[in-house]
Formats: sequence, C-alpha cells, structure tokens
Amino acid sequence: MAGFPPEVDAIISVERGNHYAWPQLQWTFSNVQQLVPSKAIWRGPEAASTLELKSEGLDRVYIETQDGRRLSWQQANASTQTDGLAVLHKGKLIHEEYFGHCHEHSSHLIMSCAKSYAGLLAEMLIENGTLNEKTLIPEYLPELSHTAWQDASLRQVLDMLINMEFHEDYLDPASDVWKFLRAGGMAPGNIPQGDPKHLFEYLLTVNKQGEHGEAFSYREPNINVLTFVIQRVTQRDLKDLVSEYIWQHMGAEHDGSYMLDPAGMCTTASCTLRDFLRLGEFVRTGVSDNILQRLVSGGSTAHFSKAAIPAMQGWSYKSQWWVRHTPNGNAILARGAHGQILYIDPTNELVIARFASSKLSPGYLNDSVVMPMFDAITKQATNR
Amino acid sequence: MLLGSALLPNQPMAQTPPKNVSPVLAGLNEDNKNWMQGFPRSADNIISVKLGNHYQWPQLRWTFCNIQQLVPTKSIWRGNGAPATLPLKSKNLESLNIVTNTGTTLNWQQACVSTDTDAIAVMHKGKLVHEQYFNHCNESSGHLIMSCAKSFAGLLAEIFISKEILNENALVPDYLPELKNSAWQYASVRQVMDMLVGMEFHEDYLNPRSDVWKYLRAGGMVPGDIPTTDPQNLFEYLLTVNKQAVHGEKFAYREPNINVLTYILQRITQKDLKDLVSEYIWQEIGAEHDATYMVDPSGSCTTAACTLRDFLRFGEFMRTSVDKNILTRLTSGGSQQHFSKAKLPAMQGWSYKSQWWVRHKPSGNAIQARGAHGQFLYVDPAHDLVIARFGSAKLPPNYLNDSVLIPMFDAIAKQVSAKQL
Repeated sequence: MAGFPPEVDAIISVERGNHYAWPQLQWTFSNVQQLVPSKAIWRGPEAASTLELKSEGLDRVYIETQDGRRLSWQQANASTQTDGLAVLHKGKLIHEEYFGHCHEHSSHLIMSCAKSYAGLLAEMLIENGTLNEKTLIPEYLPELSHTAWQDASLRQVLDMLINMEFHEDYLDPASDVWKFLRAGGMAPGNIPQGDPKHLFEYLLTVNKQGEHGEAFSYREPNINVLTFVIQRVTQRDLKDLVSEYIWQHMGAEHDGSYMLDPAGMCTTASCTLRDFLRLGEFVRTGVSDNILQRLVSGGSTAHFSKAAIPAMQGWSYKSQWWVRHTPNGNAILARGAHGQILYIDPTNELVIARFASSKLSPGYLNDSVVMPMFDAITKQATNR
Repeated sequence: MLLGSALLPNQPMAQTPPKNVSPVLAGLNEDNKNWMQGFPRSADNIISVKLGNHYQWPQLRWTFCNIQQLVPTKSIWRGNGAPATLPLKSKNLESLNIVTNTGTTLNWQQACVSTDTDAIAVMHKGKLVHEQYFNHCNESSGHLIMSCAKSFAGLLAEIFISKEILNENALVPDYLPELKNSAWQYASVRQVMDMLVGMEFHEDYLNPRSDVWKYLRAGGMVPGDIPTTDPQNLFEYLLTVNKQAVHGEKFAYREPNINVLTYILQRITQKDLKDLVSEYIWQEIGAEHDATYMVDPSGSCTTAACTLRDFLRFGEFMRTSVDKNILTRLTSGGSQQHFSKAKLPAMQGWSYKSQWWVRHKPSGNAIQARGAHGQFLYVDPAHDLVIARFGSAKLPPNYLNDSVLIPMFDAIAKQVSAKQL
C-alpha cells in the first residue's frame, strides 16, 4: 500500500479478498480502519498524557524459552512476529519499539482483547449499582430466554462459565464458528439464506449444553451477550461507554475504534500501542481498589483447569480478563488472537503492551517465548 | 440513488429548480423511524452498504452523520493537545426572518427545516454566536462534507506554493509523468487548482455508460463490482481522461482535477493526504475530534467528514491564521470572466480560486467550501464572520437551496455586524 498511488499488485482490500492472507494481514492489523467500517472511541477534549521514554536496556535482555532455547531480544521479537512492544514500570515508559507496519500513531487490531474493555465496564457498572452480577441474562435480554443463556447469571457470562453448544472447527464450513464469524462481519462474503444476519440473531440460535458455573469454557458469544446487556441497560452505544468510562480517563493520544457487525454493533477494536499501555496503567492505578482486587484475585483455578489449556496451567479467568497466578502476586492479561497482549502486574508495578501479527491465530502458540520474555522484562525492570 | 452520485453534482448545473415544489414543503419530510437505534437494531431500521439503503432518502440523513460506520476510512489526527474552547454567546439568530431570493419570507426555523439543515454554527470575531443541530447530527458527529474536502487540498497547495515545494506554473506531468498522455498533458498546477482545465467528461447520471459512473466506481463511491475493463481506482481513471478544447480560458467544475491535485500533493511530499491535512491544518485549528477521509479502492483519500465545531474552527483558521498572502489570494478570487462562461445562475458574479468558491461583494469577498447535499463553510473576512453549515438535502445540487441559504448568510452578517454587505 506504499506510493501515491500504490502499485496494482500491492493493493490490499476486502474486495480483493487478500487482507487476511499472509503476509498482507501484517499490514491489515495496523490499518484496519482503512479496510472496514468502524466507530471511533473518542478520547475526549483533554490533552494527551506525556510518555517520555527512559530506556532501561531491555533490548540487551536474553530470553530462555520454555522449550529450552536462548534468544536475544531481537530474535525473540522477530520469531514471534512482534509489531509493537512497550513497557511501563512505576508509570515510567522504559521501552517502546515498533516493527513491520506498526508505528507510534498507527492503530493496531487488538482482537479479543476488546472483551476486557467490556469486562472492566461491567465491573464498574456493578460497582455503581447499574448491573447486578447475580441477575439472570433474560432479565436484561428477554429475547434470550430460550437460548443457552436462559438460566445463566451475568457473573457466569463475565467469567465464561457457560455451557453452550458451539461447534468450533475452522476446517468445516458448516461449523458454528463460521456462522458466528459471518454474523459478526468478520468473514468476507455473503451470509447464506437462513443463517443469522448479525450477532444478536446468532445469539438467538445458541443452545444450552449441560450445566453452567462448573467449567471455564472460552466462548466468544458470551462477550456479545455481555456487550448487549451493557448497552441495553444503559441505552448507550458501547463506543460511547468505553469513551466515557475508560478512554477519556487515561490520557489517550488517539481515539480508539471498534469494528462492527452487519447491524452496526461494536465487535473487536483497535488502538495505538501507547494508548493500549495507558489503558493498562489506568487499570493498575485508576480503577477502584475493589475492582482491581477482584480481577487480580482471579477466578476458580479448578473451573479453569477443566478447559485443559496446556500453556495456561494454574491460570484462571475473571470478568473477561485472563489471570496468571504466581506466588508473588497475580498478573491480569487481555489477550487477543495473533499475539495481542496487555499484561498488568500490580505487584511489580509493571504494564506491558504487545502487538503482533503472527501467521496463525491462537495467541498461546507463542506463549513459550512471550511469557519468559515478560518474566525477563519483570526481572530487568525490578532489579533496578 | 447511490452514494456516488452525490460527489459530482456539487457542480451547480445550468438549470433551474423544479418550480412546483415549495422549498418549505420540500423540507418537511417526516422521518419518524429510529434508524440504527436500539441494542440490537430491529431488522427494518438497519442502514448499511450491503443492504444498499444507505443513500436512499431518508436514510441518507443518518448516513451523512455516521459515514465512518458504513465504509472504510482514514483518520485525520487532531494532535495530542487540547481543543480550542468555544463558549457560546448567543446573538439570537433564531429571531431572524429571511427573505429568500424568490421573495418568500421565512422565519429561522422554516429556513433551516426547508433546506434540510443538519447543523449550523456561526462565529463572529472568533466568538461562537450560534450553534444548532437537527435530525441525526450532534456536537460529536462527524458529518460528510462531500466536495468541501477539495478546499483542504486547495489550501495545502497554496501553503506548498508559499514554501516553494510546489510550483504553480509547472505542468502536471512534471509531477505526475503518468499523466502525460491525458487531459492534463499541458495543464499547469494553477489551472488545475482553479478548475480551468478543458477535458472530456461526459456527465449523464441516467446513462450507465457515462464517464461519471466510471469515475464514481473508480472512486469507490458506488457499491458493486467494477467491470474488469473499467478503471479500478481513481488514478487509473485519471489516465483515461482526454483533453477537450484549451485550458485556462473557462471555469469548468470537474472533480477529477481534485484527484490530480491530491496526487501531486502526496507525490511531492511522499506523505498521505490524511497526514498532510493533520499536520498543516487539523493540528493547528484546535480540533476537538479527528476528522476522517473516505478512500477509493486503492486506499487513496477522497472526500471527508468532520464535526460542525471543527469545521467552524477550520473556517476561523482560514480567516485568522493562514499566511496573509494566501488569504488575500483566495479572497481576491479568480477571473469572473472565466467563471461566467460556466453559466451558473445561482452564482452570477462569483469566481473560483484554489478550490474555493469566491462570492464577490462590495464590502469584501467571501470564500466558500461547498459540498453536495448542502455542506457549506462560509468565510467572510470583511464581516469577521465564519458560518459552518451541514445539510442532507434529498437532491445533491447545492444551488437548489442557494436562494434561501445565501440570503440567510446575509441576514446573519447583518445581525452580527453593522457593516454593509
């Protein structure tokens, strides 16, 4: 996409169907607003907070991966397709680095990290009495009274403890996951006749499968249920709520933006690396102690272990945040496909924001490098 | 109708408005539907490009206030500072009566409603004296400004000429060699800026083979696939345009000139237009919101959207903060003789300079950015006045409402300033 105009064979677009092909998706992830409809999350009328870099030499750190390799900083970044990495320690910016198509002012897709906006909002709305975590979903969304959520509590949705039928096979075009992605506007092409036309219609088709509240099960439709509950109760668009409760309070430099489903509802989001970092710092220092405490304490590790996720043994999940339990104090993470991570470690007063555009989508594929990298950063930052 | 057909007809074509339609009645189209409201929306209030209803009436009124939700865009960053404050000190403009050019007297509300006003704000001597929203528009909605975006490009060109990055006497192929066998082969940058280029451009909206449809499809302004033999993007379209008659003798409003100009600006700076507008304009005006550009199929910026207050700030920036030489050049205007050859009844005695329309009047000229369906930025230095106005009229050509709006602007000038027109 460089040049005025770009060369014909260098054009990336949804129409051409090449925006999600490799390596074009590396450009796509830093330029999604140019490819699809979006909504801005206004940063408000204030000036941005300053973030001056005082490097602490993280680029000299070596990383011992979980499979026993020793990687230089550059090797670790390159091998995990890092697009951007920034670190705040005690509120000071100690590292900021960009690769590929990403730079200080480019907004990067954060994929499912956007669920953690919704989780945080829900916690705030529970705290101010707008939402009740014990309420059953159909009390907020009566349309869902014959679905998987008919007897699910808001808390169970927040913690992904819902037992639903959700066939997730990316190789099977008839799989639920493709219906879901098409209804979310996340898969190009026309929606087949008879299939749900947008996310809310999709939710109406999801059936229950066994009991709720017993096992962690990461199912994206829970995120949509949560965002519809929030919007229905407040009668406000998610982008306005995120702006008012979060984006306007963290000293953001740029508006964030949401992608949309075919009915115009917010789905996933993008933002700049520096603003992602500010969001982490806001969670660490700007939300109420009760909310931070609840998130950091985490959910049930017993429920979580039933999902049998090898890369996350001993972890849990709380209010749409992943929780990494460690003896010195837990860290909470927003995680999104293709390598998006916001890592908040209150004990070490540390926030790490990371963007990536790895070829394969599952975020955990690079955990064997990225988690030791975060630990090396922690060690380097706190030893000083 | 499709969104595309809106871009061009900003050109006030030499024809008269339908006689039997009272402008007052024409504006009173009731639209009680809650378009795009509710969580989720109901099936019949969704507006989208895929449904093909975003440019239908009355849906286009929502579309004009929410374009970023419908199509790919690029943000024009407002910078990292705080916006300029705009405290309102009302001057009771809503008490005004407007005598239209056809002799009807309208009160303020009638004048606004009959012309499908979405928003209007007025600044006098840098103070906000009026701010009002209608329909789907509010303080924070980015509204399509349609062809007003060309005036961003015209200002940038003037700035680059002042900085000697751009030579107005250079020929277009000096900057864009690809265009040496096109209409712009012997056209100067100045002729492009002033719309004095003679080109073949068949503009018949009723003929699907007309140039204008090829152009709109290449600009990404018309949904649907582009025939494989047609230009696939704006630059490819420019390569197909042939010369017709001589340049430099006659004003002819032709949108492709705007694209030529924006490619020149980007080629010489090697920066994207959205970054140039951010750096030279949006970061300088004290903007409250990022503005956005729409894009063609190759990702090149086309038209834009911004909030009313930021549009007003842009006008105030023009009035008070651009280089005095540039402002003088714009307000002095172009050749009225060249302009008169276009035979635009609603603009007799006007001219055109550097992608700004110029209204010549005794107390000093006013410059205007104008965009289809009623977008106006009116900058009148003689009266220390800036008016920003958004509309979503059913029909695109602006001249249809000039008989109400220009008298309305004059009534505003009279109310806020003792000076004669």
